[in-house]
Amino acid sequence: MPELTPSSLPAATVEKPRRFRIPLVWIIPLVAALIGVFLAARTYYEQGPTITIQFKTGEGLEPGKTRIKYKDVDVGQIAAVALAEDGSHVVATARLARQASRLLVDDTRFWVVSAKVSGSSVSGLGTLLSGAHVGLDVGKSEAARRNFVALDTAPAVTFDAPGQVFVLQADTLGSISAGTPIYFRRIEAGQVTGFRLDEEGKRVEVQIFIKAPYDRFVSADSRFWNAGGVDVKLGPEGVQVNTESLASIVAGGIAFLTPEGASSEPARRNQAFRLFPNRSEALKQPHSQVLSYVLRFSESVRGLSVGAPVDFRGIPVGEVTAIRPDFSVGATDLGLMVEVAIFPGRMQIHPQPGKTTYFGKDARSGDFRAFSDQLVTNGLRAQLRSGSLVTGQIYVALDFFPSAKPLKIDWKHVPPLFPTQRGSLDELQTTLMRILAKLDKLPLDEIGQDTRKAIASLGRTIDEAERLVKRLDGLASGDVRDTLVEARSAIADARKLLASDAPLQQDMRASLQELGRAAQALRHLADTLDRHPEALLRGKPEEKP
Amino acid sequence: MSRQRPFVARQARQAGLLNCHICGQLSQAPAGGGFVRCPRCRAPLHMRKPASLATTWALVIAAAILYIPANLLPMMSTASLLGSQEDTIMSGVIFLWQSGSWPLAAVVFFASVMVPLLKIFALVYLAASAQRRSRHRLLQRTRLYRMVEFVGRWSMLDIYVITILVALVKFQGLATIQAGPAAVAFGAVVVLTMFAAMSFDPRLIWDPAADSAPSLPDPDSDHA
Amino acid sequence: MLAPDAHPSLPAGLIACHECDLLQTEPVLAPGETARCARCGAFLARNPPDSVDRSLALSLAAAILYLIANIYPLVGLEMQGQRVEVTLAGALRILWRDGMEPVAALVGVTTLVFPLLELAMILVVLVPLRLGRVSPRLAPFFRLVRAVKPWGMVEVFLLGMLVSLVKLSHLAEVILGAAFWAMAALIVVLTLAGRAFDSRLLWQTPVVENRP
Repeated sequence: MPELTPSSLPAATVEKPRRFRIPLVWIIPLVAALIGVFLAARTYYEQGPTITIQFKTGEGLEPGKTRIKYKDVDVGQIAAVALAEDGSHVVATARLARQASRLLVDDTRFWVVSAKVSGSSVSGLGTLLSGAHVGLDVGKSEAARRNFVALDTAPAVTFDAPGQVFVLQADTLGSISAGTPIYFRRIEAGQVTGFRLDEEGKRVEVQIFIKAPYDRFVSADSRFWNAGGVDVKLGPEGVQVNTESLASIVAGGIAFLTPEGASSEPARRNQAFRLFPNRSEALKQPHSQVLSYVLRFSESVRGLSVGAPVDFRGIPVGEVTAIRPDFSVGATDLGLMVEVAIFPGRMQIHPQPGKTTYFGKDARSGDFRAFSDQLVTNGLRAQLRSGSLVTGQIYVALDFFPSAKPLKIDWKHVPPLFPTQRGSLDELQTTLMRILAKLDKLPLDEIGQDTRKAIASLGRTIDEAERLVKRLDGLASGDVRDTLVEARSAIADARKLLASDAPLQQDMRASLQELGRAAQALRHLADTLDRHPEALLRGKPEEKP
Repeated sequence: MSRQRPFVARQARQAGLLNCHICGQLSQAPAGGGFVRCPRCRAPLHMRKPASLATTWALVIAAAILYIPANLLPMMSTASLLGSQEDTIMSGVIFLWQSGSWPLAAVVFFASVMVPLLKIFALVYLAASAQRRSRHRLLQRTRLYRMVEFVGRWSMLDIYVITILVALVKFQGLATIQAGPAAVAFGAVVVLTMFAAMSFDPRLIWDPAADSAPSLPDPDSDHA
Repeated sequence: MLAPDAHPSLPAGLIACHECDLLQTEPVLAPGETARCARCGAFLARNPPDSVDRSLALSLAAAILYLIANIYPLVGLEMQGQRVEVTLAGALRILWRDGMEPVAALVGVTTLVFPLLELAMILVVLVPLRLGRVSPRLAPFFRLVRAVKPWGMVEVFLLGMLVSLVKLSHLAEVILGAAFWAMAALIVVLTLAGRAFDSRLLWQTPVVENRP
């Protein structure tokens, strides 16, 4: 074995100082430990409350990712999503930031915010990119709460929105749904928050929210109507098109207004209003005073419908409530009874100079009867008039007819029978018929024949005179001949005039023919008008075979 | 390395001594061979790493084979609003270069493309030269071995990059990243080359030099 | 079977280089000095001052930092109001869920399991050492440390994370979590702890031998 030469020197032992010195290096783990403790403490301190929220489905909820936002600020995160034991809903556990603990009160509400496109609004599109998050609406209660049930959809109105809630009652829901906008003078002033059927199922109750500052314009007398879609009305006034806004055409809408003269005292919370089907219905005056009359017409009432207005020189003062044939005993001919309701409240009356009164408020039976009688004596009658020549609708007009036959209101009749006047169109028709009847009676043929005979005999007479003159011509002398020549030329002229192809005879014949044709046309016109009053405007309708 | 006065180079093997790789204790090799443990720390003792060259060759070849799919298959796929895109290691490097972060591109290129390749080449060279019992450039080869050992772990860089990217970019709807099959292949390459380096016994480099000197009959018969 | 001891005529302090097998004597090292192989320059031994204290302190710090690095989120990404934060374990879970089980396993092993093992074993070895009680049963733990050490790649992981963050910073806002800094500190501390430890300490302290 080769020699192994040690080249090592004796190793000197090194004394380790035995003092209990803690090397500086121990600072490092100390620092690390401190950092760890600090982090832990900070995490623990910053840990906010843990809550549970019940959702219908877990859609949009990702544990560890979905965040909870209040006013778009991150306040927490969904930590876990689990199915409830009975599988009927989903329970999400969420951890909130510490500052958020004061937001968790009894009536705080949660919901999932996702993109929503509805007829009247589009919201939450940001969530398409970033994923859904949970929205939060802080309630006003004082009691803290840690377990919540989420709403199905975002609440229409958050707690902190200023405004007022009311209730509308309607027969049908129509095109109204949660979120339907409510307009005031075409400004969006609020929205429908919900609806439900009342207990008997007879009406629909719609809860609405009117936001500030429009809520103070809602008074106890305000009228609400369904303003959705396009309101087209064809009436005696003509065609009316009414719409609130483009959105309301699509999504429906409700509008409200406080009528003139109504009280402007703000309505109280949750006050109920009736929801009218359209604007004109809504703005009709409240009719505390309704006077019913019946009008008897013996002319055609075609074109008059229930609801047609009763008009006084352009002002609607009432409406037709019923139309029925007259079966009263002793009537001379079959007429039609039109019942009307008059709203005296619409009329402003000066029974005494300087004193204005609204009939709705001041009418007392006796005074009013006397006043009405006075009016009727002065010629106030009811007449059917054509409202719209386009649609052929007619309405009842009250007007003064100074030349009318003296009539009285029959107060004994129930309802009182108001005197009527034949309608002007009807008058026109009747008059035309009379003229035509007269024309018809003219013996035009006979007159023509007689005329012809008279002309023929006249011709013969002139021939004879001519022969006489010729005879005379042979006998008479120069003067006489001159005279005779003159007479002859005069007779020749007369004959020319009276010849069968003489212009006069022709003219007369032509005129008679014209007259005959005119009479026929008039008769036809009267006939047509009788059947189609609108022909005056539209022209003759196609003759059907 | 400090060159002291010239000395006679003697290797432990020639002296019949086993060197414990854990505690450094030298101990006498038993005459008949066999399995022994270190007297001090009880670690298993071997004269040389068992089946060193064979294991190294096998692992290097496997790593070389897997290197191809690791670079051809997509490493990660990015799905975003703009469409989806698959990236190999090289295309990721190109993307980094083109988007302006060329230092990063250089780092990733070096760590993920060059290093495994160089490692494989180096290991092949080391194994081949040891097998051929070459006596040249002993020191350089030892240094090369040290480099291979040191650098090996840094090839894992791209794997970790993928991990973080996949874990972070999980925005449904905006962008998501998923790891691709190349990640598995690449991970395998790294692991294999690390094992290959670990199984190569660097003392094999020096053995031919020592063997040329007159020495004891070889007591250890279980080396490659 | 235990090998018989080295030849008695061998001087104590004889060592062989583990890279070139050269027999040489082990020099006495002053505090701070390092011994290298005379022929190939391989690292042989070092003598760090206050070795046990330092190693233990640094390893403890490393353990705390390791805890922080795993509990808190590493990095977060914020894009379009959406925020994603991930811990190390979370990232592995995502990889696993995506179907990349082998990669997840590899990453998990190299960044979670082995560093943890390494740390734990170091502590197991060092604490008794500090307290002055050493037994041969510690040896397997130390062997485990040595075996596992090359596989703990936390520093590579940190660099990988940095690379991906730079890649992502074009895309969205990057938020560095507490764990990120803890991990960076962990790497530094671990390296220092490794340098502060002299493995010869284990064997030089008087050992109560139990020879069967």
